[in-house]
Amino acid sequence: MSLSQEDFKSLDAHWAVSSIKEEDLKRADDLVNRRLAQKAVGNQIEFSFDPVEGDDDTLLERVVLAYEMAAVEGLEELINISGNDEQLRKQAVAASYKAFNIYRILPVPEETHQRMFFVFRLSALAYCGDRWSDLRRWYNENQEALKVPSAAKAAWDFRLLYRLFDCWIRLFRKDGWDDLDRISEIVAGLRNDQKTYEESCLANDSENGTRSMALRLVAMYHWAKASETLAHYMLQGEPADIFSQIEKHFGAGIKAAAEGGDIQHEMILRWLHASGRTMVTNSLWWATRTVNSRTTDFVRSLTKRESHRSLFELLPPQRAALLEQGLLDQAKTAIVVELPTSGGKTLLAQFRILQALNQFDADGGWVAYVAPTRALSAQITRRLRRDFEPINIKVEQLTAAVEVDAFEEHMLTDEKSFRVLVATPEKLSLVIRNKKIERPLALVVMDEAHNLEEESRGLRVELLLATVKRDCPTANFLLLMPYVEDIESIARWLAQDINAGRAISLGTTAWKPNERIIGTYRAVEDKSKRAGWHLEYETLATTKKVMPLRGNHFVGDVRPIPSVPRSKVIDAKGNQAGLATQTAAMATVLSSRESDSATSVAVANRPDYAWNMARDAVKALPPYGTVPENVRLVQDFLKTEIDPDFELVSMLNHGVGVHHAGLSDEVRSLVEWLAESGNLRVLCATSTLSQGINFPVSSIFLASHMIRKNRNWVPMSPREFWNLAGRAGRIDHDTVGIVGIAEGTGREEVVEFISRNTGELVSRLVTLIDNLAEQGSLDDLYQVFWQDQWEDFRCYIAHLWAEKENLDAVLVDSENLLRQTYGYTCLQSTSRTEKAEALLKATKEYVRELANMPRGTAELADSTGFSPESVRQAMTNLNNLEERLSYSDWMPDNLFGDGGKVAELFGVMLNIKQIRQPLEEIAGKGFDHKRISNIALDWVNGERLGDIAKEYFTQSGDPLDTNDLTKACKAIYRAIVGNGTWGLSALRQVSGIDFDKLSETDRFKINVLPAMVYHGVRSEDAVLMRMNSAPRSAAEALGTLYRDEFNGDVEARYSVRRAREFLKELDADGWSGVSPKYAQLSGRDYKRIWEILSGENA
Amino acid sequence: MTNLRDMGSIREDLFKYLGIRAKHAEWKPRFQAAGKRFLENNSDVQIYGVLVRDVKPDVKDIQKGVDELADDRPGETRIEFLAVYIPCGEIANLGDKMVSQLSEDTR
Repeated sequence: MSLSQEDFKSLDAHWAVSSIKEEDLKRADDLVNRRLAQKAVGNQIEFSFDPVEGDDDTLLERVVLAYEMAAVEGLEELINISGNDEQLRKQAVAASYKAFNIYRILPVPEETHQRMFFVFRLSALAYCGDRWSDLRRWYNENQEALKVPSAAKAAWDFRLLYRLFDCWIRLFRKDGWDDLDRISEIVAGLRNDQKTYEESCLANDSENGTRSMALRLVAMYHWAKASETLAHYMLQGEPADIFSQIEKHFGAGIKAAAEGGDIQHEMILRWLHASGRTMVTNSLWWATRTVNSRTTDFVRSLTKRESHRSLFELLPPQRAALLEQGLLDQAKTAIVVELPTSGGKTLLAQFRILQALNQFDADGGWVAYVAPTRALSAQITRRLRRDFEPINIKVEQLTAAVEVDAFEEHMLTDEKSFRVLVATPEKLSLVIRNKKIERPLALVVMDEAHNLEEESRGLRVELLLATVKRDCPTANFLLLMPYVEDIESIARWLAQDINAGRAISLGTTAWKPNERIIGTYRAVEDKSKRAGWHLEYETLATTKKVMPLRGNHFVGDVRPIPSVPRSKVIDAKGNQAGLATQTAAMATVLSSRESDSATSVAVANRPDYAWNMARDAVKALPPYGTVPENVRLVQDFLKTEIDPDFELVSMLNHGVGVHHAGLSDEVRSLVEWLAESGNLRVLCATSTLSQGINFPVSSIFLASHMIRKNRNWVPMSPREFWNLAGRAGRIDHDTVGIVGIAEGTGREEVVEFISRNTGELVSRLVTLIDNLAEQGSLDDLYQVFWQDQWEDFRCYIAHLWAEKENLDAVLVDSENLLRQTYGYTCLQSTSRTEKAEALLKATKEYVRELANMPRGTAELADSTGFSPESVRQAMTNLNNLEERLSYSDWMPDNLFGDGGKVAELFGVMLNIKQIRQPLEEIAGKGFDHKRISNIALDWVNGERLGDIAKEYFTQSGDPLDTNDLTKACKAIYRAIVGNGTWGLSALRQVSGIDFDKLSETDRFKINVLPAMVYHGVRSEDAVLMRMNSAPRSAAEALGTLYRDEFNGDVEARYSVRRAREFLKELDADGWSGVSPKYAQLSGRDYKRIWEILSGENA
Repeated sequence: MTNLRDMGSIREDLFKYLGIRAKHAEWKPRFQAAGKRFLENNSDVQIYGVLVRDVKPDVKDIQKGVDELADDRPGETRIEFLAVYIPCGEIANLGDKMVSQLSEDTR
């Protein structure tokens, strides 16, 4: 049962709550928020709220009592299985929610007995109020309150109570399998002790005394049995009749306590009974009890796993999705889930994946998991492998290269190689269009699906879904997205049938991953020091997503970065300046929160600004006394893979990291791992961080809300902002996440930005057409069809052409093709039909254009990912080369060796509009394209990034500069790895050379060629190692070792999985043998790095 | 009774305990009316003490308790004592008598 705002409104009308004046209730809310803020960051921010009159504690106690009374009235409804008063049940949950809100900030009594009952009550309120994740956080922050008293000299009834306290702390905490498993031992111990202690406890002077003691003991024995049963259920999902079992024991316990006149025990038993019931309905076992055996195996492995914290319970939005909103309804072919960031969407996807696999088991159906970025693909692959491989579900990942390499080709055609495939939208599009997998596609899971409105890739994402709808009729859909209003229309579009779509919207439920404060910050002159300034944080109450707090507060110390004078942050005219410095200062101050593992994030809108922020943070943070082992490991990796003088190495000594698109995926993954393992104080990043990076942070500060898109500065979309801000605060730690944006010179603008609604998702197709209509150019749609933003749309139509190659048939089918898109559906269903007609007309005109293109162009567009126009450009340019390329030119040894024709190929690429832009940026002067081809050759031949930067990006003689390294990274990862790989693969296919005539070995070599560029290695075996996350510096030697070991085993030579197993089994000595001379990593270090990057044994 | 007078937490526990029992009771409206007053001021209560003895009535039995409880009594709190005296030596038989009376009533 999910709480809504209406449930809280109804609660206000309850007789006990309404007996407290409205302004007092509001004041209590304010007090709670203030105290939470004070407790969370009171040492870093000196809060100065408007004073409130009256005795705070008395008010809070009165209000909490009123809420408790409302909760108590509905307690029976929470306990009673057949209870049908939904309103009263909601009252109990909402009132418990509110009571917990206050209770958690009240001081814990010192006296043992009172302390135990305080913890019991607080925990019960949390469970009954659907706030177990908040309770777990309270437990983390209040370890002292959970101390189990010594039973050594205690009387038998107290001994029982102390042991029961221990049991329930474990039940509420669930810190792994062993934590719960210990409960049965504790209860067994009590059974033994009973023989020794019970008799003396009952030897009482008065008959009445004996009777009430006997009743008290009976109550506690039942309480113990109920605890044991509950723990067993959480561990094993048994007994199946769990509710009647706990009902029996709690019922008998409550009866005995009531007969003995033991008010305190009676009340706590009632609360624990309700909590136990809620715990069962929250459990993974209960939510999946009627699903298939594969799901049961999955749940069993989640509860038992050792490498990561075991999972026993669902978060409220997860439970709502599964139990209340039909996530696993087989009749629904398209489900769209809107869930706030950190709401646990991956687990929901996993359940749906298992269901889909089960449904398509006989046909070997597969699931595509689409993640927007390479980093997120790698992250989700690690997670899925970790969770699915124990139940024998194979998960593989495709590289983000826009080409299917020879190893991938082999993997895709092997029926047994995977059941779940993780890919980027571009890659999956290639796989689907070219029908690379014969087995039926059972389900497409699209993570961060709100990207379908994104400017650069939105259309591609939408058209991928449309292609799947058309080409894979059996496929179901699961779209996951945060902060989107009105998702029903998307579900309807995907389902094609009004009854087969389901929208699960959980963003507006009362549950929050954690509390959050939002505000702006500014530098303020401070005359207490020479050139003094300090930071001021203004908390805002402009949105419901955060705690409503108002005020201006002093942050940190005067001159928070001692070496930065006032003039750097406030200019001569008194205007705000140095926003990146202010941001670094905010992040630095907030990084000193008590929870020592918290990472504070500073966000810049350019990589060079992120570096500047990191330099400022380093100035303010002292270096580690002893560099933590994890940090040392990453430093040695950076020295080995990039350069010993890479600036990030020294920054890490201070606990400062950097994260932006100009770093390799491996570096970013390792920086995230440092944050996750609590070894990073401050992380300076760009907004790429908002794309689903799942590591937890405590606070986030943005130097600006403006970002660069297509060479223009535009405000971040509210959805992007909240997706980023939503990461402040962690499920298990930090009650309050802090978010801030530098005020700069436009306070009002920033405040207005924060208060904007996230709104509905708009198809990129609709936006493009609306923009044209606004300019009055709707009739000229076909004229603009040639512009870059329509490239994906042209590819989409070309795909239909490639399949039919018959003008009349394609014209007839055009509207059907458009109807598969969300944009066209929206245009048709609203008053924008003239726009729909314009789009159809332009589409048909383009179809006629396609009919005039040389035969095979559209097929090549499908197989290369190029638009038909790019295919034609590529063909023409290849034909215009002075010397036509022969197949031997394409052999890797020739192409990447002396006199190879890489430069010519880059020359061709530079003439192809679709891919040329990033290549142009590094092409250099001259017509021979030597610079770009030399960079590519050095990359493939294993030169270190630092050496490439020194060679091509520094002034000769100058030491390596970070900016030069960033340029080198951008050149490699964006131009060479991104577009170079794509271009090379496409040119190979359009070259006209019949590679089928070659021997299988030669053909294979040529097919792996683009992957060599992608991975920066020179041999096929090294590619195989790199596909499995082996560091580049060791990949060639590893490849050789692998080849030697499996020489003759053809299957192993092609198998990504076998290569992974080989790496998994390689010991530290083995790694030592493949490390290059310059390596700073030992064999053991290499192994560890590989484990982290691959997610194996990490 | 001193605890009831002085310890808010005990009174609050009792309040919640009654809240559970009030749900289907005919005295629910009266409980809610009293509850509202209690939430305004948790000293706004009436405490009753009942003394049952099987000796000769003597005001001294309760006088000391009354005097002690009257000291420091919050203004809003009312405390009443009721002393019930039954024939000498009868207290031990009180239970049996009640049981036989109850069975007679139900016959």
